Amino acid sequence: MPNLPALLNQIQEIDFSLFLESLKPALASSICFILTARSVTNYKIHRDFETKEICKVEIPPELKPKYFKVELKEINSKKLKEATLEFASVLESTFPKSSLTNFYNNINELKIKKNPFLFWDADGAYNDLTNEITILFSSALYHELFHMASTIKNTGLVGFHQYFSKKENIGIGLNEGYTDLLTERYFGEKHKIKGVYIYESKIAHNVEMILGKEKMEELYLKADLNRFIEEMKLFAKEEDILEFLVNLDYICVASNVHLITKDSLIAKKILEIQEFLLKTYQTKMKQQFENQMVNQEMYEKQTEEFLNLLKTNNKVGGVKYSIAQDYTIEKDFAIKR
Amino acid sequence: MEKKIMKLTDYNGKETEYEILCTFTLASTLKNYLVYTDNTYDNEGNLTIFASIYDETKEPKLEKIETEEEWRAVEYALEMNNHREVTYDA
Repeated sequence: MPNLPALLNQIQEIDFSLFLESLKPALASSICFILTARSVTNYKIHRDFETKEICKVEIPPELKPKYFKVELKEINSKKLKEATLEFASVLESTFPKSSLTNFYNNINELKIKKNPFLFWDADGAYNDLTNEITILFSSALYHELFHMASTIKNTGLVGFHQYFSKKENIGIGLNEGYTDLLTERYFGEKHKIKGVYIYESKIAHNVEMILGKEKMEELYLKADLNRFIEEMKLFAKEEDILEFLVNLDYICVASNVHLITKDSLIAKKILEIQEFLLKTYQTKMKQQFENQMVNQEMYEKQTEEFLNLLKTNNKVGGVKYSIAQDYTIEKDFAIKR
Repeated sequence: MEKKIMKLTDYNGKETEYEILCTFTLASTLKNYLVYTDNTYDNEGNLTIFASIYDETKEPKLEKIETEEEWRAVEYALEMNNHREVTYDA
């Protein structure tokens, strides 16, 4: 079990500007790696390799692309196969195929096991290195299946979470929140699933209202935090986006510690997150309003929805933080007629 | 770690082996890419690296990478390969 208070201190000490380096270059689309062999530092890429002269190509069988469909035979051999099949069916009927590359890469070889002695702080877990889900309760399966569907194997890229090392670890808060949001959206009603990352989920929903549902879902399933940042940069500064992600990471880890007393640092971070989202949303809506993409009525309606969501559920680690300043928010968003 | 070797045969029947450094799929193109080397070095000590699209829809074949976005992805793949400890074991 990691030392969580130490982890919190570690997050607090993160210089988020370092991520500016590690997150670049931002690719226009998601990328799936199977890393093999060695690292190379000094190299020159030759673009002129003539492939027309090649008549036969043999690569190691383990590197061959295996699936681009759900293999019923594979799924039927798994534990909890009905839930897994339902998940696969919902994903295939809901999302464009281009967003499901990670899902297809992982689903057929996914391992699922039930373990009554899991963790003290979770009902399930997905190990992205072994492609294995361990759950305590069946209801936790859908959340973990979303992690599976948004993981690029062996890369440290899981949904919006990127981790390459202890220092280069960002996005867990947004990732867990958005995973909960999607789980509730697509399976919550039928299976009476309530998320556990309540605050993070609410914030992820606010972010989705800025970027748009389709884009947000696509970036999540493609595990493309780089492009997420690029898209957000249309409305906010890169440093502010990274600071927002780190603040949400802190809250996510802090809520796992089950804090029972108010934490002034959490209150500060909730306020910073709120301010960032308000400012970003305001910039987006003003752009849309000025470009006549929304009219006055839509502007006010959408803004009200955004604000209502932002003001509720500021509960972290069982403690409610009442920090929304209604007057400031409303005043900031008033349109001069 | 065991080397991943690709064998290419030309129309004259000549076989050449290349070491595969990494493979990846681009979601935007839904194509699979191979990054590989013949393990030769130029005068400046740079390892010679090639990259191609790997297509096995019918017979396995290599195709040329055409777009700048794909080449950027190749460079990024190599950076990632260097950046992270390799944990893959087939």
